[in-house]
Amino acid sequence: MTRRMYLLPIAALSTALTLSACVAITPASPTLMRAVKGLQALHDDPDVARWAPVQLAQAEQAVHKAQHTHGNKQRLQHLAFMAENRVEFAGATAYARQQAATYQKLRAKRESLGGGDQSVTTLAQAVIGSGTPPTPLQPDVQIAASTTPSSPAPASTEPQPGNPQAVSPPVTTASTQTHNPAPEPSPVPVEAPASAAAPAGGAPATRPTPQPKTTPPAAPEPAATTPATGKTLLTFKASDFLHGDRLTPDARRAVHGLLPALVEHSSRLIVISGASKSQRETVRATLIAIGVPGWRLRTQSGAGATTVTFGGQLSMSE
Amino acid sequence: MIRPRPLLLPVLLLSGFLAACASTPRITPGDAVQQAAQALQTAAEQHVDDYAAPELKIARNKYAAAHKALQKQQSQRAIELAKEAIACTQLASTQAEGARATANRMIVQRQIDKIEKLTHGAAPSSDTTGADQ
Repeated sequence: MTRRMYLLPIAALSTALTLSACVAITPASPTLMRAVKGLQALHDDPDVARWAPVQLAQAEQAVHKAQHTHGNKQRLQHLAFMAENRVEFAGATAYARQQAATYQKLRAKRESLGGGDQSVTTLAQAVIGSGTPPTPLQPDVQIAASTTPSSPAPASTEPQPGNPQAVSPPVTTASTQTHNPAPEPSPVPVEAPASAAAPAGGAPATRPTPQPKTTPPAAPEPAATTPATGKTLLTFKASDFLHGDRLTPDARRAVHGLLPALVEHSSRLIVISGASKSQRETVRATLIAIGVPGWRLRTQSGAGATTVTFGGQLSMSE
Repeated sequence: MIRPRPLLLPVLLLSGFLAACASTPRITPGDAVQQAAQALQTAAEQHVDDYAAPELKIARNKYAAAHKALQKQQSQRAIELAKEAIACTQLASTQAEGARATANRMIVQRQIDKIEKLTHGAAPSSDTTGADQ
């Protein structure tokens, strides 16, 4: 009986220790810490829960799995990578769906105001006036067809290679309608023909034919204030870059937000300067990716944080 | 005489049960790498490079590493890298969707502003960034 009294507490203690080891959180690698931090940011953003609830749940599962799985270093690195990826994916899905929904609402509003692209082009021609070649407005950028907004993403936490459907991007757009019969992947919303002249380097054959660079510019927009040379459009912090060569989702959206200003002042040079060459190249690549022609961009080394600034006027020959 | 500990057997049975429940269908490393290749091919056809080149570059590197692991017969590593490649491709495609939708939204907003200026002489409507306005 005395032996049993000794054995029971020892058995209970060993069981408790075993269970606590099983539920212990894996020491966090930098990747896992970023995933946890990113997940917290997703929870703080109500739009994510609204637009990407399934992806958010998958991100939670992935982070939990990475935190509570024990194994060799390689396995843990893989789980941490997947957790960070799922967190980014949830945020990107919510953003894309929100933008697509807004786009559809604006299209409906444009239709209600008196027409699609054709009538807007006519009005634009009327404003430009006689003697000046009209500047046709570019058609909407084509959004590739994928699943519908309400369709759920695959339920598994990780993309399953065995299921072909799982690899398709679940982000949706309600319409794939374009105004040209052929795909128009050009991403540049342009008013001035010079900006539409040169798509990013390595453009595929399906891109629209560039406008001749000698085409006279469009009629001036009324009362647009031209920013002074050297106006800083964007300044990046070190935390805006992941691994030194990728922009965070928020930083990338900030670059996208420059589009109206860049289109509005399409005759201005855009200068990317800063101490870090890799950061300058990342920002340059992102600007090209959203459709800014390479010949409008100039990178130069400088001190301090990476910045995007308006430079001088481009000459017509550039 | 050694008496069996009363709690050990249930713990062992529970562990086995959980392991069985947690197991996922096994796929071959070759299939995994093939799926990664298909995902990258699809992304290339959709011009995802135009909008998310850095992420797609990572996906391609992961795929190359998966292919190398497959050749070295490192099955588990090949599967993990293939999954990472697919995940990166999925992320890049989604970012491309977001960028395209943003560009489209801006184009249409400018067109609406222009129409309203021309037809009504009114101030341009404010840019809508959210769906509910």
